[in-house]
Formats: sequence, structure tokens, C-alpha cells
Amino acid sequence: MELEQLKDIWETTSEKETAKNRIDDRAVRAMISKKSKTTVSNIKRTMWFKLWMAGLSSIASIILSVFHLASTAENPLFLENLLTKSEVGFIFMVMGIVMVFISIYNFINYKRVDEFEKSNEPLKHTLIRIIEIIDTKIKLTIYSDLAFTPLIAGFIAYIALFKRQGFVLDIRALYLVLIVLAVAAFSYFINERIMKRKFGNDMERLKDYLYELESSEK
Amino acid sequence: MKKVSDSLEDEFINRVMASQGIVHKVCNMYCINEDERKDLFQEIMIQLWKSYPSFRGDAEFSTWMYRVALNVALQKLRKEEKSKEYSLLSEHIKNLPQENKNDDLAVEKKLLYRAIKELNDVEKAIVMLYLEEKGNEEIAEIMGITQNYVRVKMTRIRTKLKNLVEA
Repeated sequence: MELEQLKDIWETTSEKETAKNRIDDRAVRAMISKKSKTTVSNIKRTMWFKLWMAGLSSIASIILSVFHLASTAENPLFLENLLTKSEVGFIFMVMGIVMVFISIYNFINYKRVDEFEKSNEPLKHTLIRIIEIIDTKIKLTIYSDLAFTPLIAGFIAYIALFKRQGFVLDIRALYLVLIVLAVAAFSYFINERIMKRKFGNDMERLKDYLYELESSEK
Repeated sequence: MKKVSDSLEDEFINRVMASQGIVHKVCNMYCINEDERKDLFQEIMIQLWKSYPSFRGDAEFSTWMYRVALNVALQKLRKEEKSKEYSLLSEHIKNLPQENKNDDLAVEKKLLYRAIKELNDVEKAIVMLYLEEKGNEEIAEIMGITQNYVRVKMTRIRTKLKNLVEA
């Protein structure tokens, strides 16, 4: 079969198919008001949600930290039954700072995805950008959980190990470090598996396309 | 402000309505299943609208439409595995003459889909642009590759299709 032969068939078939499936302007208007379901749009929505959650959590943590450190009250919140006031303030401060960094990283990447969505680059450049976006999304999920989950686990472990005695450099400190490291390793392993399962096939496919577009230019 | 966005939407709708055949062609090239085709059509429309403000007219409107539509077609998440897609395609091809035994168009469609089936997604994009009478320069611009690569790719596709006939 020659390509020239296909041209005529394509023209006839396309005309018939287009005439059959033609839609009116009202249908187009309805379509463009709907949410996109592409991988990039889903990633953007998740980033937006995480940005808000991390932003609000960071503000709440910092306010609670300042409240604990500056308050003259003996027992500002229920946590004082478990830890000292300054320990609670310190933990909230660390959580707040970690969340601020997560929010900033999310915001920068959200802006990049938003810019990309509105752009109209050639196919090869689009593939490169989508691969970068998915890669960033994977890293963002893995590393933000890697920062946050061990922090929470460490917080709980600290309460269980030291209660109201305050930090002491003994075997319990080693337990605390081991618990944090174990949770961090587990969080990394689980998130990496989840991300691979979620985006692995798409990444592979997009990289194949890109490889094909780049291979003959090398 | 509302009026500006409304007039932009009207302008967009008018231009897209005049060239909606491009979107249908891309959908037909990449989808066999009717639901998938509708989904892809909608996604392309959404993406065209999102990126319309960045269309500055430095390329033809149709070139811009092909670029956006093909970008969406290639990046869209697939629910089915490739093998399932191929089996659907095979089923579709098998059924074509039975749908309408005396219709020449059905036979030609069978021939066309058989050829498309043999191509991967990148080749489909290049062939589609070629079938749409786009020159190497425009194909290169839409795909983001060199004209030389377009020529190389077209030669490979021709060979692939010849082998298909001889097989």
C-alpha cells in the first residue's frame, strides 16, 4: 500500500466521519467549561490541594508554636500533659517550617504546570515538559512525605519515650533516631512503589515517544 | 472584564467551529472506541480553549490546532492496555465489510485502519499531517523535529506500509 493511495481514502473517510460527528457551538461551549482529565491537569489539581493544605498547616503550626513559646499559662493545650511547653513549641515550629518549604516547593511547581497548560509548544517539547512535570510530581510526593511522616512518627515516639522528663541523651535517643529512620525508609519505599504504579506506565510510554523523536536526530 | 472574556470565547468558538474537522480527524486517528473518541474530543477542546490566549497568530490557526490536538492525543492517559486497544482495532477492522458489504467506503476504511494499526503513535501523527497535505516544514514545526527527520520517518513509514501489503 502506498501513502498516495491512502491519501484519497483518508480524504473521503475523514469527510464522511466529520460530517457524521459534527457538533454545534453550544456543545463546544459546554465542553470547554468542563474539567480536564489529562495526567497534567490531575497533577495540577493535586498540587493545588496540597498547596492549600500545606499552607494552612504551616500557618497553624507556627501560630501554635508561638502561642506555646510566648504563653505564660501553665497548660495552654492538652499536649502539656505529655510534654513540656517549650518542647511542644519547638515541635510545632519544626512542623511549621517543614510545611512552609513544602508549600513553597508546591507553589513553584504549580505555577510551572499552570504555565505549561496554557502554552502550545511543539510535540517534542511538550513531551519533555510532561515528563519533567510527572517526575517533579513523583519527587514532590516522595520527598514531602519523607519530610513529614518521620516528623509525626518522631513526635509520637518522643512522647512515648520521654513523656514529661525532657530529652536525655541515653538509649532512648538511639531508639528515637532508629524509629525516625525506619519510618523514613518505609515512607520512601511505599511512596516510590505507589508512584511507580500510578505513573510508571505513562512515563515509560512518554519516554518511548520522546526516544523515537530524538533517536534519528542523534 | 466579563465582556472581554465573553468576546474571546465567541471568537474562539467561531474559529474552532470552522475547523472542528481537524479535531475529529485526530480523534479518529487515535481512537477506535466511541467513548474514547468522545473523551479525547472533549479533552482537545478544553486544551484548545486553555491555550487559546497564548495563540499569537505567528502560525496558521490550523497548524496551532493540529499541534494542540496531537499533544493531547499523545499525552492522554490510557485506560486500556495497548494490546486491548489493538484487539479492539482488529475487531473493528474485521467487522467493517460485514457492516456494509457493498459499500466501497467500508472496504477503503478497512484498508485505512489496517494501515494505521501498523503505525505507532508518533508515526500516526506524522502520517496524519502528511495525509492532510502538510509540507515537511509544517510537519517539522508541529512535531518539534527537523525536516530531515520528517523525510527519514516518511521513508520508514512507506517501507512499513509496503511490507504490510507484501505480507
